[in-house]
Amino acid sequence: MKISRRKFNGLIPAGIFSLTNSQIINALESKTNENNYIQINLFGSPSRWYFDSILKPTSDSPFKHLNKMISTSASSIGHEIKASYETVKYKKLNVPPLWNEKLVNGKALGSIFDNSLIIRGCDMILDGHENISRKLVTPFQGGESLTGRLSDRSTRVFPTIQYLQDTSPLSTTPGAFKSSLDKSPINLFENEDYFDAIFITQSNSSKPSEESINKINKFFGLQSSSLKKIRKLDKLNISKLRNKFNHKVNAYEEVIKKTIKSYSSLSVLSKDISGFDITNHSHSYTSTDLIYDITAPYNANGLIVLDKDLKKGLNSIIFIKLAEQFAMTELLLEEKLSSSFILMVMPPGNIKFEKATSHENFEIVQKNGREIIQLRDSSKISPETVDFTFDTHDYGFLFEYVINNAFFYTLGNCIEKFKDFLITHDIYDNSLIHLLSEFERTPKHNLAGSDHGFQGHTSTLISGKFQDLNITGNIVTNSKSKHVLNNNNGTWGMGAPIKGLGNRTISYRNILNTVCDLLQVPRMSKSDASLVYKKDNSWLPIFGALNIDNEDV
Amino acid sequence: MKMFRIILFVTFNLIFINTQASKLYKSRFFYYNKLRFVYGKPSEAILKDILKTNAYIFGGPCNPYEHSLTDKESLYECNKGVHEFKAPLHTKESTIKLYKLSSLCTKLSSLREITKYKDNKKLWEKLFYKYYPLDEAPQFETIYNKTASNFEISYSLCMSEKWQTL
Repeated sequence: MKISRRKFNGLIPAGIFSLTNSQIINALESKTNENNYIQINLFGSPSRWYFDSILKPTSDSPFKHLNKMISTSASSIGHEIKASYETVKYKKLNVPPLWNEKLVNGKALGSIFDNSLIIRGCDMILDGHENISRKLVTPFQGGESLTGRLSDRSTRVFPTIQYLQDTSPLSTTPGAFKSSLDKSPINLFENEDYFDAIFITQSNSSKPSEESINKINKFFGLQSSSLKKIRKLDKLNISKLRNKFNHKVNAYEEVIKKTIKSYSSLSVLSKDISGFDITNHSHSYTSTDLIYDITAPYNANGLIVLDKDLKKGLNSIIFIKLAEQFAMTELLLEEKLSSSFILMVMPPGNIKFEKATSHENFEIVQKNGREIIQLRDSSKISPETVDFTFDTHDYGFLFEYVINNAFFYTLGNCIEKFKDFLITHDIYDNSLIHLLSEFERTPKHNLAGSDHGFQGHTSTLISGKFQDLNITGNIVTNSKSKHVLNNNNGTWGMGAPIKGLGNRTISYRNILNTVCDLLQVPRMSKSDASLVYKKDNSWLPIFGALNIDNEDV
Repeated sequence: MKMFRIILFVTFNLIFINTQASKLYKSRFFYYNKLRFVYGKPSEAILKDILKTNAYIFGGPCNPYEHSLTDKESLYECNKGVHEFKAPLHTKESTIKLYKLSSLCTKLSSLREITKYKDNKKLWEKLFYKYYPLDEAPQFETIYNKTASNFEISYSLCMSEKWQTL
């Protein structure tokens, strides 16, 4: 086909036009369809096999239980620890037993996943909490973030709201915010009142009139779009909003209190789980046994808990800002003031034990021809308070088992309440809850804790856009790899290739593009496939979820 | 040919819109000093209340070595944590900042010292030149003649963008 120079010249401006105006086109599109994005971000990466990391989805999925850390049922009496990977049937899937527990509203915990897609087996490629945390909203380091894109396209007054954790708050997901239109997110800090950080109470007598605001615009050229937005905020009845916020916080706190009271009746916590019993540890040890290995399952970051019942520590547990984060998100959604949120959930704290001591206070001595473990100094036993961390390198199996089950039960109840809010306000179908952490965890061999399993990541998407409980993504049945930490640990969630993806493991860009499709915004990276497709007004996963018995992966 | 010119005109205008740099605003330290200079000592509590606690919104990183400062009243305090040293040096336009500034300007314009100005044109003129020392008189005249109330003069000047931008 021949094309004249004149015609070719005519095409140049059209080409430039299309390249430069995607932002304008995006902004026009977004006005008709605004979806809400709520990311629940568990920075630190707790062990998700207690909750939404599904390791044996069907009865015939190959599964290797080579490390007791990966267990969903545990008990310990004296020095005997029993642990196994149990599942229960929920809908068509084999899921962790926690899903069968009753929520405070009487439903099964599994019901929060009734409309969801669990994406597992995503390879994050590089290790590092902060590095991966920033990746959770942006496909290219330093480039536009999902949160920035959503803010640019939003018609709401506020861009993305980010509730920050206390540890290195801006090196994590919130710090990766980047907008093409130079918008800035609203960062809310752990040590401030969320409401006061956003809203201002003004006396009615001295409110500037709309007329005077218009005049400023004429004299000094303030942008009218911004002025329109503050006019909307000025019209809000702040004291009424404050009451509403307080009411919502109280309602979530009430739910959290009820969950704490229910811990004792949970079947996952119904068996005896004792602390380290020194009197029962008088049998022989080989001299190669290290004190660290012996006490590891009872270890809480260097402290060995000696209480008869580890679960008693849950009586004093606190959840910092959890109620406030959900309450503020509800308020801003209800008032249509923002449509995208990052909730950096903080790990529970204030777990009190009556008797604990440092692991350095133990020694192995010879007695009657046997090696026994004993305390160096019994006066060094004291009551201790432990603040949990999701990054459980040095939190032993029993301690982690108790706290993680309790935490996920409470979080599940909060998600259920939030989901109920979305349904009653008729916005469940255009909202997406994205539950995620940086990576899965690889178990340590001596039940001493777990390390970073960055070759696995789970993202759970909850939304009315899904009509059922869905799962996608392949994982390896037994990881035998050059990475020492992953070697022969059985099934823990390490990603495996998918045929339909060109024999490639799911990358986080696939997940981001999936989120973009669901939120109806342009995909973040052009060359990566989405993991869902739409059929009859419902979204379905393209690929299944296989456990691949590939020893060489 | 005419069509071609129109397309070219529209295209270059859109390129201009897409490529022009967004405005940068001065930091909270500048805001504090400027507004303290305009409204005097009675404004200090209001300014500290809104500017000190909003490093990320108004810009201006704090000093993480604040404990070694001899001036304990320094604005450089890390109020919400040491991480505030990561606050931007200068900010861009944002609704939350404008909303907070509007509240600040409302409070400053309602100070008793300002309401005392009443119809004293000379005092208002003085206030105007504190904001814009290099501006010419006709601009003050326009503002003074067109604003309906004294509150509005102070509020308009406080909200005006010129003194805030870099």
